[in-house]
Amino acid sequence: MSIDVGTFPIVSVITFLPLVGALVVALIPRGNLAAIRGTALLFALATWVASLFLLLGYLPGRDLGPGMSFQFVEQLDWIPLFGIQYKVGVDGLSIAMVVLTTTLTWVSILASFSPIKERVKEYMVSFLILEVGMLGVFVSLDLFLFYIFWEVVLVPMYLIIGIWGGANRIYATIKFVLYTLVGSLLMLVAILATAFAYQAATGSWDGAFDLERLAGFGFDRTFQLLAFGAFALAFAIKVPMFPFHTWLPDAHVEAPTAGSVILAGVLLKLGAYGFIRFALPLFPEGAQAFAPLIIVLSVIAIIYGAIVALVQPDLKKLVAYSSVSHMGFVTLGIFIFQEQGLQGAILQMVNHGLITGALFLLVGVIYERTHDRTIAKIGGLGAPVPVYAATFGFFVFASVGLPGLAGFVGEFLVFQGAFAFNPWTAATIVFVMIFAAAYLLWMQQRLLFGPVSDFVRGLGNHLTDMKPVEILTLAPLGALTVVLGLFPGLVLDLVAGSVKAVLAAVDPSLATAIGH
Amino acid sequence: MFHPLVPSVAPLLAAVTEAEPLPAGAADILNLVPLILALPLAGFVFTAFFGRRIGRFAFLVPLLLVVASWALAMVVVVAALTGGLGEHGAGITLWTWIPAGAFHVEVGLYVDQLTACLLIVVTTIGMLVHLYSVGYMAHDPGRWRFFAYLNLFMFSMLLLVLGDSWLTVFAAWELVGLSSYLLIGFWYPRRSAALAAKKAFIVNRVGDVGFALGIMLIWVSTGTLDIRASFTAIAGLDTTTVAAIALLVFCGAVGKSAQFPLHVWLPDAMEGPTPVSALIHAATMVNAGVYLVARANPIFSLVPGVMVVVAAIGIFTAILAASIAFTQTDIKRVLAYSTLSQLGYMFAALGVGAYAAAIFHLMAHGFFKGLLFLGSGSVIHAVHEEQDMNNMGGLWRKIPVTHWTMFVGTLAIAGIPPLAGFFSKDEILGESFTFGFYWVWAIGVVVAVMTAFYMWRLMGKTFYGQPSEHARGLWDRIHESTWTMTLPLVLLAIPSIGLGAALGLPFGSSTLSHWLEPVFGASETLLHPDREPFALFGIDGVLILVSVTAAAVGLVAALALFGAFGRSGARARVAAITASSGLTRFLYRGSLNKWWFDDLNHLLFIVVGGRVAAGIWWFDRVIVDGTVNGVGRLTIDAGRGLRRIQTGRVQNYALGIAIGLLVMAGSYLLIAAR
Repeated sequence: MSIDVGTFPIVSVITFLPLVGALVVALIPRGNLAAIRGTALLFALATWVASLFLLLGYLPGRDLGPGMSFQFVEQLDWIPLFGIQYKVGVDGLSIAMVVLTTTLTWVSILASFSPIKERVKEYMVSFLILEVGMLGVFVSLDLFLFYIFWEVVLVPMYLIIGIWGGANRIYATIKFVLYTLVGSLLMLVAILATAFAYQAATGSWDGAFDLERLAGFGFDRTFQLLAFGAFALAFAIKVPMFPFHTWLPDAHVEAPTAGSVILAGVLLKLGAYGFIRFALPLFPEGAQAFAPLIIVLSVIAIIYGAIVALVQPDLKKLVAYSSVSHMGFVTLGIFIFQEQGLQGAILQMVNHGLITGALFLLVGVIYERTHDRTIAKIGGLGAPVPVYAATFGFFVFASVGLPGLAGFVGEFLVFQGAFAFNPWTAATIVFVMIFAAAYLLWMQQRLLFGPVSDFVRGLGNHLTDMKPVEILTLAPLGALTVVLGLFPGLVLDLVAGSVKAVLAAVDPSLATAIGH
Repeated sequence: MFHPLVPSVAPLLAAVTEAEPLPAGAADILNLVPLILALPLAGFVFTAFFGRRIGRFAFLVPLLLVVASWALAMVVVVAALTGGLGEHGAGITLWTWIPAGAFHVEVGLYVDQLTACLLIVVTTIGMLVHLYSVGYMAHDPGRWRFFAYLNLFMFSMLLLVLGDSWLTVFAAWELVGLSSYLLIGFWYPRRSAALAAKKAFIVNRVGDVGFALGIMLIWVSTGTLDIRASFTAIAGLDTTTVAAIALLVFCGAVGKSAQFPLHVWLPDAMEGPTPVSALIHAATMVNAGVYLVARANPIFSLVPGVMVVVAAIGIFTAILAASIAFTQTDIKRVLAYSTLSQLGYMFAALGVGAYAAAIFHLMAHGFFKGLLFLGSGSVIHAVHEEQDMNNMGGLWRKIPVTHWTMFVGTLAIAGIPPLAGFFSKDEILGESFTFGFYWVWAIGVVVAVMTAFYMWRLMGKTFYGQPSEHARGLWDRIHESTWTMTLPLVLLAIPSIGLGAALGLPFGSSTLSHWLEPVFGASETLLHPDREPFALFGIDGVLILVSVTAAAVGLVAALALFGAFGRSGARARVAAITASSGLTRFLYRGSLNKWWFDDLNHLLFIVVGGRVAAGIWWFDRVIVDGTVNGVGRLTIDAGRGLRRIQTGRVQNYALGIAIGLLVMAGSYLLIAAR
């Protein structure tokens, strides 16, 4: 390939390739399911491959120095009157999230082939548009553009849960959308206020929505507190942080399998990404002021999510609450403003996407056969479906945080960062090691071990072991779980520059402590 | 409290790497070390993916790879013990595991004399248990899985003793926990096996919480996780921090080595197949805690107060477990409590500063307890998967190889000279006394009597006296196990007899203590600077006599009660004991019910803990989510209320417009008037 990465708009191509895919799928006759599915998968795979080129193209030129350094930046005037631009570009953090998104998207589309039988065309179109929104969030360097993509994500997810979801899907999807909207509208107000404040200070709209110009601009403290609060609310709902998390179990339980995978794997990361990319660099003083509160809420989320997961009767709810606990590590790692903590938080974002995504796929596999997710009913799957049991066990231990698999390193770095921040914080959250083992092994024992339950026996021939296509969806996630467990440097080195930039933005004294 | 992170580290690391040039040929030996690990790992991966298809002969690849791993390990062991790797051992770095700024962890392997001693135990017993399992698991359809797990365990355990950074050891620590979980729950359709596996993992995690915090504290206060570099740095820290590190690391040891109060998982772990009990839950994994404290001896020796805690927990576990072993009737459970008790001895030795004695007992116990467990497996097979000793009796003629090898093992554990256990146990008791820990010595002697008693009770109930009804029922079908099972028994009997004399002589400056001098020497000098030379015809000789007498008393008492008299009298004796007085009844019931620890844990963590968790979930649904839904409902109701305004009548709207205009005009006038 002789693409001049300097001029080729690779970021835009990646972002809008799924949109092209959605248009193509829309043109395919409704009845031709094979073509619809195949085309959707093809475009998702093409986007994935393109994102790998982005990764490879980024690595040689990456800059580990302080300060934001975006590559492949594309910049066009969009609404010049207010200085709004179409400006996209990536750094290590963006790329990690982009590759996570493109990977999980094709896996999810492949995993939807068999379970989704109604309105397949609309489903695939929704999914591809969803990917556009997610990728757009991760590459936007203009606040207005970011907001547009942020809201674009909502619509297809609203449809995916609301149309292809479970019995109580309307309640769940409306709760999801309204809750998220409340936060994001406040964020819109804050974005506009920021632009106005910038215009008032500089006398020009030029760059008033440009992240690179606004970061480190030094808004006055009161403004920072208010604006950070508005951003933080939007992101906290999305993560979701305690006590804004209750939409998540409902949404997960009602969402179709692939919807859950994307919801847990990518959508939750949007909030964490928003904190790191926008809220911290734009309003460092606000971030400093809110940090104690967010740290406390994160510690609560870690322990609370795990304890509530202990008593869940429903498989999906259990995994949903485990996400609340795991995402608590992410927000904690971000707000202790400490190098290991932030690196661990970002690694945890990737790991949680892979592992929890895989767990939701596995729940989907068994749900397709049982049409039930009640843990108490299912039992003794080990003997009748050994491949499924082994795969399930693998991801359960990845989620438990077994060293050698991906979950461990991210969590331990956050532990270590928290310990350096304050030993008692670490001493509190480290107990999640016990709770996580308890709820996950309890689930595993009830599901896989013991005698075969009457319910499972009643399924007879419906209970088949993993099909090749199901193995194909889980194999890449499993392989990445092992690779990132042994070589977490693949992600840590990629994001090291972003981490230093963010920490330098929040507190310039930290940059010198890290060694620049 | 904490030292500044980075600046202190760089010179330290340099000092360690420059310490001493390696002898010629050391590099070649070191290149073998990764293979010791890689072979069983390859066996695990291969068997996990292809074992089911291979079927009957799936044991071949794992067995051969473990034998090869043993052979390589022996080469490395010989080199390490003869100075081929330098006085303080040598290591190699494999790759950078975690590059997170100043938090930089490399995966490296390190071999010194202590590691060599552990390698002997782990690879030798590991190999013999693999061989034994070929026969023991011959009829189990899932045995490919069994051998895959065994190989995974071998890899993890070898990584644990070879790892050169705290985090690598922690990783191996968790991986042995995983293999233990998989093997305890090997017969997973049995609910009790699944529950025991889960219990083992979770209870271990309680200890791991402390261990993990200890590792974090080490990094924060020294800036390195390299074990050897951290020792030098920790020596410069204040006592409070060192004590905290030592106690936290000890928490991990308490979990893995099943010491009070985390001892509850080990007896349940007997749900696993017997070769697993022998390898993991007697001879190797449960020793990991002992190894860890011994490895960290430069830290512990700085804080004698913490060492007293170690000694106290150890000797208390020793007597607690021995007291429970008195009344258990499941042959494997007696051995499990015996293991707890012997591990307690080892911790007592560590606590009094007799590090070499602890490792001595670790090695000796590994062989004779491995033998006893494998022997019990042979017995269980002979009587058709019966584990209750009340259903055995008089078996010694029917399974002579099993009997005689177990006889040797029992003599060894009871501390009868000149078998292995005599030397190692005597060294622990003797050094406790000479180092001034008289209370450890006194309790230790009592435990020695108890050990001899419950072990000979086991022998008596199993092999001697009249056969029970169950045994008589299948008397003609009872036969000795196949050679793959009896050969390991015989091979393990050899070190059970000879290891003590080989490593434990001459008294006072044994071969083993010379081997381990580079590892423990500095600490032992620091703790006991004015140590008296060994006096066979003085106090030390008297102590030996006391130990031997203790063993003999236990032996004679047990054989008198449970030997030739048979079992008919046993029930009557129990009735007599429980009826005799309130105290004896209490002691008997306490022992029989394992002093109610399981019941207490059930109450605290399942009943109370479950209620608390359920309460928090209620809070989540009703309060947290209730608030969200309440706000939503409020909005809907407000919307419904406001809808009434839209009446559709033009007059109403006109009124609204008029009022609006008036308000606006009024506001404008008010503001303008200012």
